[in-house]
Amino acid sequence: MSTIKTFKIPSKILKTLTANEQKLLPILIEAVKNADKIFARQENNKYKGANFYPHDVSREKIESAARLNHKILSPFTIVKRDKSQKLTAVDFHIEYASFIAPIAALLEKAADLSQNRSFKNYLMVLAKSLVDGNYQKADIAWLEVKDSNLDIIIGPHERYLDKLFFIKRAYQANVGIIDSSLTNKAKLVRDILYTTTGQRPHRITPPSIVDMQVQHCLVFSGFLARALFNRQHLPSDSDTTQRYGSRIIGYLSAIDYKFEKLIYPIFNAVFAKSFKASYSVDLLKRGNYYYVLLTAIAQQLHRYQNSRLRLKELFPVIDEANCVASGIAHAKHLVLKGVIDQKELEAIIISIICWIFAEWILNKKTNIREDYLRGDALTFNFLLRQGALQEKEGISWPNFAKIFFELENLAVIFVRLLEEGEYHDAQEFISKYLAFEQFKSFDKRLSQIEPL
Amino acid sequence: MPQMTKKFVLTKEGLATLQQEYDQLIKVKRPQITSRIQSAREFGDLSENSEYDAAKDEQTLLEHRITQLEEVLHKAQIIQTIPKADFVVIGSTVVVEIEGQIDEFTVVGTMEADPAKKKISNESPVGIAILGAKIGEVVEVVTPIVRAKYKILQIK
Repeated sequence: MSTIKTFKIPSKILKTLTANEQKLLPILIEAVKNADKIFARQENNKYKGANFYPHDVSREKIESAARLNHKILSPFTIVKRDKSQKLTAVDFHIEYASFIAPIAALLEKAADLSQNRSFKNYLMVLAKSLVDGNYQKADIAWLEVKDSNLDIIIGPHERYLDKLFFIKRAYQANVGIIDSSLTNKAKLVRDILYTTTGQRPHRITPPSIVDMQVQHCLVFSGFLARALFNRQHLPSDSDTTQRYGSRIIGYLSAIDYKFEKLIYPIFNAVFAKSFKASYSVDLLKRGNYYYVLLTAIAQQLHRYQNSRLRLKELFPVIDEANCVASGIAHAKHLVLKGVIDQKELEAIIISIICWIFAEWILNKKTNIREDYLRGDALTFNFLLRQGALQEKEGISWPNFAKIFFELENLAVIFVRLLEEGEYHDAQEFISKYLAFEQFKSFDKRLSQIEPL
Repeated sequence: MPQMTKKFVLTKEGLATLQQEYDQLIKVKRPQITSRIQSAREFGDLSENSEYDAAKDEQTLLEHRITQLEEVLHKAQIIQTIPKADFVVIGSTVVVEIEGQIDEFTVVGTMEADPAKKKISNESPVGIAILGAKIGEVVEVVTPIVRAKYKILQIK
């Protein structure tokens, strides 16, 4: 099944490209679409380890083999059996060489044409990295791109497809047009959040503040088309991030697409008519955008030493839940300083509720985002039990002031868990609040909404 | 009943900046866009002409901004700069403590507000709450959803 998602871009956005960038665009789109073929060889929803490992080998046997050959658990290899049935690792760039060659050729062609020196360099380094497997070089060159209206990413990045070890990276690609105005606004929000949150003793401090970029997406392919992420934080390799910095990318087209197909229909399904009348589509769309932005920035603001080691497989659940709670709690400073108004904050809170249901719906089609759903379920049950959210016959009645107050409380709990909590602390909180029964009372109202 | 006329509070520098922007829009930008629309018209069929659509969109935004600036310049109220006030006034740069963190910003009129440059509107919740506050004072900012306490540490 193809995993290519294309988005319509208004012609005025295309006009922001230089004549040279307009020439590059069709070549880059072609390269991005080609990455789909590699992802197709990795994806397999029937097995926890997808196609990264032989389907009949246990986790223990893989771990045992990895003790003798560390490449078995490298993020960038496929595990196979050799002729003697021994487990062996094959690098992605060798395993997928025949699919990578045309992508690299297209990137080199675009590099030859590009008149932007740093973008040209990135395209050349990216082409080479896909062929020789040195992905870090491409990440560094990407972070160094300046004054380009175009952005392209191709390569193995996210780990969500590997549900067996959460290690192997799935191939993804995208090409987009950077929106400079929204990017600058996103940087303002980031700056306010960073200056008002302050330092914490166990926080991981990268060499530079996280960069921001908001783009109109033209094409997603591979894992990104399957997951339809609103945003990503790249590079995905923490060593690179620690040494060279990182960037949050907001995928505006995906954000708006999901708003139209998922969030707005959910809003219409779960809120009472009299309540809905106070919120225009534009206001809700803005609230949804801010929600994505705030959660993305909060995730980078709250990186703590050894949190993955301490919380193990519970880390992504707590981390995702904290993005929402801390992100919204930090929005307080935007309201106080007049960057967003009261109504926009309400729209952000409505977006939280809608996204909780959205993850419930999306999970029916694919479990790629299961950690998001589990994190959202914690928040949902906490708000219900604290009386911040009332439910009657599948209709939600939010009390904004109480929701905000409880989200601030939740943020304190999650940050403490990430900062110094032990596995059993996270386990205790999760066992108290992780439940899906409450979603079922909304099922009838949500049944008409397709999981995209 | 006479209608209340809204005044736009501005510093002398703020007024000069807005006047400069207005002059630039009237003398440079407006003729540029008019000329772009004219050239786009010459391409032919307007229904398929994206350059024409883009220029018209830009013209709408430009005219909106010109109207907005005309109103502000007409109703501007210049505030006197007080060399060293012992309470917060429009134009004061304040150092505050909020939830254990130190923050610094300048309170300005709405038209000059630019949070990216740490210029906060006098009509924002913080702006409203701290005007008139003295050094050492703790001010509670309350909105229907959020609340916070600011301690004034320094007024520059």
